[in-house]
Amino acid sequence: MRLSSLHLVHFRSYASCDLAFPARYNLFTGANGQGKTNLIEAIYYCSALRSFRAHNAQDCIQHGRPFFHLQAEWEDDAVRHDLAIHHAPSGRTIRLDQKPLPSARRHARRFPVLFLSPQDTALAWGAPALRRDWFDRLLSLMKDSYGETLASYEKTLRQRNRELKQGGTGELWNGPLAEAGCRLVNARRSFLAAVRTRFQAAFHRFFEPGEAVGDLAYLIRHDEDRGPEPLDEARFLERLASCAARDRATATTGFGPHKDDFAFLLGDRPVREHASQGQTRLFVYALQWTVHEYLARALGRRPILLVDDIFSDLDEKRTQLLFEGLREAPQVFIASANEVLVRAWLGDYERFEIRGGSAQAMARPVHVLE
Amino acid sequence: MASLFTKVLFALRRIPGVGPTSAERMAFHFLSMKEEDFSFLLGTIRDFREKTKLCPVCGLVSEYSPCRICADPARSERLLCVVKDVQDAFRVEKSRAFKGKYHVLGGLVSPLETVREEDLSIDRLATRVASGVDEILFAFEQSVESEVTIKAVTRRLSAFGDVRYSRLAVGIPSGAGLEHLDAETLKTAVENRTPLTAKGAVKAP
Repeated sequence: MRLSSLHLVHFRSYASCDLAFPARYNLFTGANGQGKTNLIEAIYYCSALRSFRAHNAQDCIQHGRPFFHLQAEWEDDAVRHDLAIHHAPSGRTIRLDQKPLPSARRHARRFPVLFLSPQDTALAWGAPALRRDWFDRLLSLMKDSYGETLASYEKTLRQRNRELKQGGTGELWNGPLAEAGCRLVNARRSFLAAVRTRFQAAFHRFFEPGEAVGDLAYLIRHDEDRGPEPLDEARFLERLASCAARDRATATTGFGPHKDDFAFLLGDRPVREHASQGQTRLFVYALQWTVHEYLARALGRRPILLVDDIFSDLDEKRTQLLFEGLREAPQVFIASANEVLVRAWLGDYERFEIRGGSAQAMARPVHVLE
Repeated sequence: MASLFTKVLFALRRIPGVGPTSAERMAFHFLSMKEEDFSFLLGTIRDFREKTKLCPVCGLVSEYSPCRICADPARSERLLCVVKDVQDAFRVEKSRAFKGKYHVLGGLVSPLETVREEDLSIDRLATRVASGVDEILFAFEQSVESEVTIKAVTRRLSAFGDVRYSRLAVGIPSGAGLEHLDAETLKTAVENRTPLTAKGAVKAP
């Protein structure tokens, strides 16, 4: 599975741009602010069908333009597939091989990508909601039923909270909330249990022997001392009942997977409080690496890697380890201003120079073959 | 000031399902209609609106009071089909599969749409159940709101003892290939699988 070509119209800083990707390794290089990350974002969009940074896809439309259009050619088992995405304020149409796309999740599973960026460290030091979203997206990608349960849970939660705001007890919603909530909590914990050993192995690749052990844990808020046994509906309802007075007072629901957290640990201490910046980055890369391996097994194919300048500030050994990891992906796209580093480690790659002070001048980046 | 043509378009577009193109086509069609056909159309719509009322028993729309279904002695009083709205009752009725009577609830519990339990006609349903009902069939869509509404209704009717409750089966639509079904629908269809006899016939419920 690989991306053969990409055509952008009015996407971010690009008025119009055509790119072909015959090679396995691809480097987008150029000075800062020229649009390297925009290309990585466009490729990500062609898989996940959403942006990794814009909550509203409108933000991806070039300033002053009425729409953006992306056209990608995916190659899967030697068969080519044409993806066309047209996004305007009035709506979005997505067609794969001239037919409306039946399922966005199935598409993302068929053409998976994994995005690595220096901002990923926010996963370790950011709010619990960031980690929940990240793991929820991952689990939804692997299993439709997880995404459906999550949507049902979120709707039930909104209904319950609104009833609390209207002066009700929210009690009618407890049953459906507990049913969906238990499924989410147990799926999240099962996933962590399944990847924990692999994560620790990945962690040891990046850290010197004798340094603290990296670990992942699931924290159920208001039930922190819970053992590894699955959460059942009776327990969920019991915890909801114990929060009832507080819930009525605040008109919010205090117990459930929307309050839980994924703990990132060095030894038994939280990464966010005890790890250095460098250690935090490596911790998150080890996690991304584990996910890459896990997705490869779960989906039966390795994701394409989209790498947004993650090499700066890393020592030689860690940089080498990261580049070794990149070699396992079917195709890699790197956005980096530091071409010397990429040349030193990757050797053979296709180079795209992104230039121009204005969007117009950048419309057709210079494509230089090494 | 808006022209009459613009006003007609504006009025027609307030009808559900009528967009700008349909409104334009209808407006031009009115102009080309024969006078008697146009009068018949207007008269029928006016009659329909003036003479159609909600049935005081079940909440269906009818020009009779009670409605024909409530007044039909061939239909069982002891079997009630509870529906969210009048349209859903018409849909069930079109299937010709149901031989009891209806009860229109007036919505599903949904705080997000400001529909509370007390906004639904559960009191009227309780009065009907008190006068003798054996079974209630909930003909609702599959949603959390339906589940919660069923819970609210059954909790309210719990004082009436021996009422049997059922809901519409969930699974594979008639004529649908498995390739078009999502995982959740298939999962529900497996969970609600239909028992067969040794000869492959569907077992009677």
